[in-house]
Amino acid sequence: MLLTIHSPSAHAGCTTGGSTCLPGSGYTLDDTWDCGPISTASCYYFATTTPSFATSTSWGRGSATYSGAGTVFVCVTGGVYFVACGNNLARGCFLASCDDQDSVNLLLDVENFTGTHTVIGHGLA
Amino acid sequence: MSLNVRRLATLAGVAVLGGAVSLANGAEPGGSHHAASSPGPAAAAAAPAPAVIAAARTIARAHVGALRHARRPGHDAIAASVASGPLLSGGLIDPATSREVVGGRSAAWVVSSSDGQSVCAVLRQGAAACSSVAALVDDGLSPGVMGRMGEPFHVFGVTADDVSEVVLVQTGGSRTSVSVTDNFFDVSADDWPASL
Repeated sequence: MLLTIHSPSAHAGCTTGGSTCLPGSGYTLDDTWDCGPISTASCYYFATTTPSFATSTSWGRGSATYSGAGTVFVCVTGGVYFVACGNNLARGCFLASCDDQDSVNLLLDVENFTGTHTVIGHGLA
Repeated sequence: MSLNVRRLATLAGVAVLGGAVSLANGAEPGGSHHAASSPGPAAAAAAPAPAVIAAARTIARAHVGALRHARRPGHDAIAASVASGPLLSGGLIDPATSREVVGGRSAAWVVSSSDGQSVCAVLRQGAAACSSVAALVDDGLSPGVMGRMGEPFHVFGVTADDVSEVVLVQTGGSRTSVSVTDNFFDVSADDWPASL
């Protein structure tokens, strides 16, 4: 597996928003990942089913998406801090405002509950 | 309440809510993509033609009364901070189709996805869940769960017009009947939901 890591697409310090900032206050990291087809395993950022290999950061918003045929119940989980689930697409946030947070580092993972499917994770931090 | 991701496995019962059509435009616009495989189907998803979008929205309106109500722009519009915020970023929903609904625990918005193929529930508390129109029509239900540390779970969803009540079964076996209002419900759960 070849991983390519790009620089964050927004400037650090986007505390007041602006045209170069990601949506919401403070986000500087916008990334997606998947582990290929997974069954009951969690797929952690970035692209591992092994928690000890996962990368934690101060995630503020996450999403889980399945875009293949049929309906798959998917969840995105931000450590012990937040979880969101839905059919094919679910999004959830650390804060109710969905703005960035810098107080807690946590793992972000996606899961599916029906069969074996590729679920795309998407996180903002 | 503290979240325990291992308990998520018990939710498999909810997954019996199947459907026939996927979220056609579920691609997630991330800054970069890390993959253990070739890019998933989301990467290849293309926006459907306007006629396809319109047809799907017609079906959604036919089965979800909340989407048929005359729209009150000052009342039904998604709050600007939410509409332009990270929860709905990437053009997930069509804000012109939103309707505010109140069901049990909270107010929320029911709205069509930007590609018309899905119906989404957007909670003010910072969560969104979508189902394809076909799944919603077939199952009568688009389920969602949201949890945040220190708070009860939100078990919520959008229902088809012919569903007036939903029964929540929690992992401890307790059963709770939940009334549906405006095709929407949102009920508190101290335990992880086992099925709806």
